[in-house]
Amino acid sequence: MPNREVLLKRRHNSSAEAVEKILSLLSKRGFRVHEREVHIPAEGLSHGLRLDFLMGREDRKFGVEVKVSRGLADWLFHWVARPILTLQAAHRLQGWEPLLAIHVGSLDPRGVQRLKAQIALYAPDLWWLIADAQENVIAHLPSGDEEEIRNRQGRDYNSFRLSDSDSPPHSGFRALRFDSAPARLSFGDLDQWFLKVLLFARSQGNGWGGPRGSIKNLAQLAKLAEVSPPLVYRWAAAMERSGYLMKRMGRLPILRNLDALLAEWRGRYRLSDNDPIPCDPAFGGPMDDRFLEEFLDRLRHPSDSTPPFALTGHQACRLYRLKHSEARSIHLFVSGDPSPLMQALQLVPSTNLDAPIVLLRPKHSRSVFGGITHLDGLPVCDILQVYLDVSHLPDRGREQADFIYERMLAGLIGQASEQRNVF
Amino acid sequence: MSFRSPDDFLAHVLLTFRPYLGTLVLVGGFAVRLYEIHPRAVPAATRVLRTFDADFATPPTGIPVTGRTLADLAEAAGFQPDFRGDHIPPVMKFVPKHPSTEAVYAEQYTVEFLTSLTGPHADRKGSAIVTRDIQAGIIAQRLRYLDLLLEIPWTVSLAGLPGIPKEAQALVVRLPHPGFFIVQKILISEERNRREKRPKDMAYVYQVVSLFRHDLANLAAEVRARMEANPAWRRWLERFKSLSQVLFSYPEAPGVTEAHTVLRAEMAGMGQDVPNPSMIQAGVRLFLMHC
Repeated sequence: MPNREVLLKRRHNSSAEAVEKILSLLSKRGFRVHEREVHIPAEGLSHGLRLDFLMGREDRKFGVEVKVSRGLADWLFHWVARPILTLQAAHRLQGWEPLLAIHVGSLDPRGVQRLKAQIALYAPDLWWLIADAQENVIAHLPSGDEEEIRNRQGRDYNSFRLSDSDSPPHSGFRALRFDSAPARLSFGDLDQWFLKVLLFARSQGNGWGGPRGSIKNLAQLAKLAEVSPPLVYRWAAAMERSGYLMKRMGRLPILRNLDALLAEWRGRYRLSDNDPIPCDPAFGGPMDDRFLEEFLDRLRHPSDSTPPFALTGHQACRLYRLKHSEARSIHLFVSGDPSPLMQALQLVPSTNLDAPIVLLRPKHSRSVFGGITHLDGLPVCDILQVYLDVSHLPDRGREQADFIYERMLAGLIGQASEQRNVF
Repeated sequence: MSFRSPDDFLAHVLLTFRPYLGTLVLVGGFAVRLYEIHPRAVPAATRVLRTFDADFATPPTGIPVTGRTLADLAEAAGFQPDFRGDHIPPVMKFVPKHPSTEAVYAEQYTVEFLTSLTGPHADRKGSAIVTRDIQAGIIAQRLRYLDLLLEIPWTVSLAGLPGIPKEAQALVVRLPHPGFFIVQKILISEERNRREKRPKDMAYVYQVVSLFRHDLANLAAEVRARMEANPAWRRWLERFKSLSQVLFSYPEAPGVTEAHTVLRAEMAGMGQDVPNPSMIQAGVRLFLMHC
């Protein structure tokens, strides 16, 4: 294995110092280098596939490409397209999660915004980290999303506004304006919950079991969502900054770029963000129709001690009559202690990560459980949640998600877009 | 005398003892085989263990003669007594008179009668109490806790058993209540003369639980109610609970390990997934937790 100096010298478009900085930033976030300059044999390619690093974090493996650039502009995305393809190929071949790290001379908020939108659109499964020479870091990593900006005095700011107007003259960054409001949508629990309520509460269609009613202003949204109004105001500001809500002179704001919003949401959300418990049936057997019927029948008759739960994934699609494939995996969100549910369903924890049944303790509990509806006597996640969840399932999940979008979600999104008087 | 399969042998035995089927209760491995066709059972993922021994539990009061004796019927059907051990009277099993030359030899097949053992294991002279006459010419082996298998027995029609003679399909057989079957298998596991059979018994426990997995809470409730109503059985129930703890409380517990070993051997090369110890432990606990 080549030593670090040799490796760094050999790197195209890289500088040793910047790569060191990236490695240090990743190390602080729990990543450990397993191997450098990784070579993966590939059929028909004499040189195979080459990656900069193989890293590990907890029990997960990541293929990592590190790129160094002086600036952050539109051409950068074209330049990193190849590393992204390489990472995606490594993911298919080895199961390593893709992580792209970029070091730039200086973070340009507009460039960052565009790059994030492009990644959300073209490579939503990609983890990424962008750092600059002033130690600013923006990242989308398994540990969470980061937007850390420092001024030249070294003071930390947890948020910044992506607008190059009105920059304070004392700021070290002409492009960045600091304030207490969130920079953009974080797609945390409340962000997701507000979005769902806003998109679905006014529709009469299926796929939503949460609150319904008219929303003519933010206060009404807060009331329907059962949260305090300031949280909604803050969220609306983030929506506006993210380009999904537009104020119009003298008129009420409107929703915009809903397809991009959905693409970003899909890219930011990971099923693995939830706490998964892979399970096997205690009495074994194939996952055939009979087993599924038995399983769903048990779900229909929970005991008093069974915690709240909701079906998602392929089985939820089946109940929505939107089944597109023969995939049989079962995904079930459960709130609280899963043991009573496991007993009721006659399940046993499995060491096999590809086990056919997965209980999920949700990271975003309010968003997951707030919109559940009942189909065939079973609690099922709202259709948007199901769409997000199946998007990440290996057993034809992406296809299934597209099918949901075509058959149901596009209509709902369309209805929401046509509501010109959003607030 | 040859049999095409263990089911064929069982059908022959049941036809032989047809006049007594209202008194006898079929126990052991063939009971588990017939549980499979009981209307309250659901198909299990594991194949029921093969057995060649037809064991009948008999009432402690003996069996009154109904027309011909059991011994006559056995003789007429081609069975002969086979005496084993040095007990007085010796342990008696019926075996086919003319062993087959087929792959599954007929001499592997046996019929045995069992009756309950109450009181001490040995008499005042120190001789083990192992057998008892239950009818002229029929010696039954005495077994502890066997009375449980006679409590609220179930019945099953052989009509659902494939590949047996037509006349056998009309038979109705008495089987132990599955809950008592499990309790008896666990209670008897500590008996000294059952050590060799214990692994197979533990596998049967998992298989019975698996077959009645839709009904475990009800089965356990029926067992608990009956056993709590009887002072002697109440003690057995406590004993059963403590033994269950030892045998099935965690995936490495002895009962789990033994059941897994037997099932793995039975299902080797059949292309079926063998239940792992965690599955066996969790499955059996689903019954035990309701007892």
